[in-house]
Amino acid sequence: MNTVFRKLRWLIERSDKEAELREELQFHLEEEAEQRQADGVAEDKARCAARRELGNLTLVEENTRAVWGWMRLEQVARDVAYGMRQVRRNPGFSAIAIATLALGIGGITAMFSAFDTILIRP
Amino acid sequence: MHREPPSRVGLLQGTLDLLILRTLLAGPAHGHAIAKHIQHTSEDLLQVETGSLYPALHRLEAKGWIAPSWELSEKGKRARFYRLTPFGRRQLVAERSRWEAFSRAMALVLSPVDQEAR
Repeated sequence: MNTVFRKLRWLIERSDKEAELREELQFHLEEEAEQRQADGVAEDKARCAARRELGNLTLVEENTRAVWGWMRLEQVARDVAYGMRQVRRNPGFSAIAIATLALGIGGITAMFSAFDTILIRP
Repeated sequence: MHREPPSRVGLLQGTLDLLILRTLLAGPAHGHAIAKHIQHTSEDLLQVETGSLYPALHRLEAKGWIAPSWELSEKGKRARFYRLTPFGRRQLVAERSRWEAFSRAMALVLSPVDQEAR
């Protein structure tokens, strides 16, 4: 349960956490570059080597984001967005599908309310 | 997303976590200092892949074993320092014993090589 609360809190703090992570990695890069410069490497080469040493920066951010646990939420959001795009692309089919669902759900709900009022709780 | 084979990731995660916890036992430090400390103390034998260092640090933070805070580094720049929590201290002891049990088991299996090699 603690995990759920924590992840919800992270969701709210998300942009702050992303900015913090970037600042943290930037600091690391600078420290690496300075260390190499202290060893006598030229500044641009030092920065290059530090960057390479950190590895794929995007991959690092992705892996850290995986720790934060937003992956599944993002996947669900992406699937919903895909669904919406598909609906917009096939308006005719979507209209018929939505109308059928609406009639079905509406009809059943109406029937059940009637049963409920008359038979189950008179 | 690129994934490594599970066994390799498992071993790395466990040992890296232990190294980080042990490093922080001496006091709070930021990510770069932790990596450098591990490298120096192991006489350059262990080079922490920075790509795995930060996910590990954030994972330990999520588990509550270490606590972050933004402080000024020795050079006066803002850096994210981590320190060991009491819970983390207990985990360090547990992980350390698990590691020693593991290396003892390895030694037991590997030791009778001379006799069998003949």
